[in-house]
Amino acid sequence: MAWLRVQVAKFTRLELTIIAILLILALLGLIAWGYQLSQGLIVTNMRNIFPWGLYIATFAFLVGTAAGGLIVASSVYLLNIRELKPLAPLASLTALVFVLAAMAMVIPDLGRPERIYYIILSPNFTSLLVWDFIVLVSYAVLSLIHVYIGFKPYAAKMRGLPEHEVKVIEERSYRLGRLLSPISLPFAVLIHTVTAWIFAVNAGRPWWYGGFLAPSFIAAALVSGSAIVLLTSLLIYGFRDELKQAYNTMAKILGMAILIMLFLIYQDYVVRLWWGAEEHQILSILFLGRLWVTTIIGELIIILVAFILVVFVRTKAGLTLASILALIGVYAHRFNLMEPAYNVLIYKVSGVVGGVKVEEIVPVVLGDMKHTYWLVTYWPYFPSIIEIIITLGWLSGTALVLYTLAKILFGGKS
Amino acid sequence: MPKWAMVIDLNRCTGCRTCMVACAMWHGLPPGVFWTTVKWAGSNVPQADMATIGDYPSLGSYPIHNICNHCDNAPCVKVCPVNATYKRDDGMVLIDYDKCIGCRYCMSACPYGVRVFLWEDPSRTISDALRRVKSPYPYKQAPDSMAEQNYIYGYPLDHRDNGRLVYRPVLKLRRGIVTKCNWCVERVDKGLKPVCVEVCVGRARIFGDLSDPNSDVSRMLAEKGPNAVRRLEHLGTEPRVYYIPKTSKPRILGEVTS
Repeated sequence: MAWLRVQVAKFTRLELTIIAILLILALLGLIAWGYQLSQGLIVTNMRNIFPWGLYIATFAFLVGTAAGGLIVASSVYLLNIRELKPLAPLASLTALVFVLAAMAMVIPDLGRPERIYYIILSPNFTSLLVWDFIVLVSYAVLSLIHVYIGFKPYAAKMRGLPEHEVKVIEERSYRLGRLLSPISLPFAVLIHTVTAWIFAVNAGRPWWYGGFLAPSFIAAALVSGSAIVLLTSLLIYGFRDELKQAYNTMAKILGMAILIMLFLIYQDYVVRLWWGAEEHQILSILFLGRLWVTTIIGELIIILVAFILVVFVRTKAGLTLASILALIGVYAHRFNLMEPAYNVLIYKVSGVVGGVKVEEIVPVVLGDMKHTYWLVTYWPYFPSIIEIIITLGWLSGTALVLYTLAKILFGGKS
Repeated sequence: MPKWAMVIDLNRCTGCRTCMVACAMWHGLPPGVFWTTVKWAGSNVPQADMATIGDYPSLGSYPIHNICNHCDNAPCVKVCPVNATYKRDDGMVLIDYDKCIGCRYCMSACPYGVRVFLWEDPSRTISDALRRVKSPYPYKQAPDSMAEQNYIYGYPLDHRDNGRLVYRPVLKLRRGIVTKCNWCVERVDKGLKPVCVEVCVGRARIFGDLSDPNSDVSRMLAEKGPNAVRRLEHLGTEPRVYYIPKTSKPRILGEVTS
């Protein structure tokens, strides 16, 4: 009881209100999931032609955000970026929370979540989903160890150990972290690479297929990952003088990551623009269709505003806003992953009618009876209200767990 | 071990869609779900599946078939995380309905768009459809005298391949799993032909054993072999469904080239 009172005392009134709101949103998400379980995935707007939607886009986003955590934490040790050292434990915590959130995000996407244990009982090792599961679990274990190592000096301080003993523990924690980081850095890169391969191996989807997707996923992961580390540190530690150097470095990393990501995205658009055919269809979906909101506003303008803030406005408000905008921008980029893949069908049959050669897309059975048509070649996907509530609930739950844990573990005065 | 294959001779197809309807009836597919489709090119207007293309007077159309290709290098088999979709030695790509977790990765991987997910309970789709057309007879499961065998009056019994549930009338399945054309494995294992082949009025669909040189498919392919095409061959999926393009003079109906 006393422990709980001490912990609650760490939160201000405003923080408690926000936590209450997040809790309500998370509960709403769970209720919506219950509704989806009772009705089936018919309550989503996904259909046979568009089998993955907001859930898997959010999954990719969360994996990327998780990858950033240990990239920051292990580069502290590996590249010896000393000024980031105070942020390392918090970065590991974001990695842990987000990788668990990513795995949780797949559950509402499954038609039969109660059978998920088959992935352990009879795995198919040519499926990259299995490999993704393996690397995500390994990553969760690694980041848990990192959190434990990082928390030890804080625990010593909390117990009120004398200064020199804390120093010894801190030194030991640093050495352990250094030992572990050559393993954790590759895994941080690997989780997002394997997640990208899930999509990139499908030769039937021109938007995904090829070797480009993995590097672009890593670039997006660097943006969202460093943004989330920056945001949580700003919220938990505050804009303290002794941390200004660390924030400066994080801002630089975020700015660089944004540049790399924008470069990778746009060089791909140029290559696609050149050839024509299906690639043109992809670009017109992205820029001329409904997706211009996520493509031009989300992926370009919001990200550019974040970049400007990161470079020129390195105040607390500026950096907080920049990291939030960067997260929104990457999320918009992730949303773009689905529609150009599914609404560009390569299966066409050509024929000759009256001496003229014509080509027809072979349609797909839609899969519901809510509409008067049942064969489609295009599906204007927008997430249904249930999908949005569930996703929002899952994200709120993630934010809630991350913030509360960070505050309890690392929120004490250091 | 037979090597099953299918040949669809587009010279003989009248586009009557008997195959679609027979398949839906045999497998107990709910309204709006089809495992094989026949569509007339040019009919892109909803509810007008028999439109024409071209400008007057050279109007025309041609039938487009879609059915699971049972690929030898099937992407859906490679991506299934739990081995629910698998390839049998005789070439059939089947789904174990007891195992599928409903992740729909196979649907993302299949370039032909033949896979169908059960977004809601098929029995509910049927009762909703009956309500929509104001049917005076609400959907009721027929009295089940062989309940333990999952028998429904008018439909075949479950079929298992080495214990794997590869056939059950879809209206008896629960939502949340992926289904697709199973080449009527429940019939083929008993020595019958797939139902779409059995009912085709023009004998446009032919099913048989490729390893037997005297089977219908072998003779058909030997005769028209150079013309036969497989769909999206450049992807290397090695489909087992061969299409024979129209060789007759292009008349009003048009000819299919690939």
